[in-house]
Amino acid sequence: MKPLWLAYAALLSLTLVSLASSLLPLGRADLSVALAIAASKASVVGLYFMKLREGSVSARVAALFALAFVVLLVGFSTSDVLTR
Amino acid sequence: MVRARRSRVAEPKEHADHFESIERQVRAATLGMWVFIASEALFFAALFALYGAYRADLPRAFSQGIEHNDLALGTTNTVLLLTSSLTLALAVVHLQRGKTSNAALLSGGTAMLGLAFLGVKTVEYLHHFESGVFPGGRGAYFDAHSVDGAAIFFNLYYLATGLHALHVIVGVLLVASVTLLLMRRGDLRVRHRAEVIALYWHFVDVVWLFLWPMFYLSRGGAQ
Repeated sequence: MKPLWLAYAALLSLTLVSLASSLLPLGRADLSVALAIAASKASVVGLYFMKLREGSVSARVAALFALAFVVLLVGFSTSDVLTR
Repeated sequence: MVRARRSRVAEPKEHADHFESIERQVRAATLGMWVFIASEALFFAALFALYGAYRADLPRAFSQGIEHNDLALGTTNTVLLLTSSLTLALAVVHLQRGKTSNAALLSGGTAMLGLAFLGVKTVEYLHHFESGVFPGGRGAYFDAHSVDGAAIFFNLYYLATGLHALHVIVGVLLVASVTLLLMRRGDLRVRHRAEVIALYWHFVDVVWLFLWPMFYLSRGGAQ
């Protein structure tokens, strides 16, 4: 159970970091930084709470595919508009 | 006269007929939930893509919209959901160790935290209504703030958080059903059900982890 508590502590810390960094004047990098922190929090949840660390290969493949397609969809839609 | 042979009441099998073993059934159930989670992730991804595209186009509207949202309430919700993931993960471990009553308490706690999240969300929506921010770009707020795209930002906000709230409601019902079961039994079947439902709940948490920065944090510095 200790890993779960450590993971929780990490999640709360990253939440604080996210909050603090949102107060910094990062300009347009604001969202990228916040999303990067969110992605690391999501990995902690995925690896420790959703047990991807010890799960079956097929579960990890499903999770990675979901991630890949989300990144593709959001990335291309956003860069489309950004490069107009 | 032929009497119909009365069949003996079948003992509840550990695993369903079409599986070779309980391990295979558990693996299949888990993979099934993961595939479902992946499809729901794509569902949200479409909204995220809309957000990205519109934000690139209308940075000022998004900046102002985020300013208008209540950071304290949004952060509270983040902490509530993270804690609820912890309690449910702990419940599963207790269940694996045979401590069914601890597991029931923890999963009950998870459902309560989920309800608290929904309560905070309700308060937030009510605040928005009070300040004239309604879905569909209607309300006094949009008449006062004629920034192009204010309506688009809040439409996305209502869509994304509303869809997420629906997922939370379903999650709370699932976790509550597991809690009720755990108050009576702690056998292998209940344990597997709890593990699979826990996956769904953690996914709902992960979605919020992205909604929080998108709608509450990233002002973008655009004035």
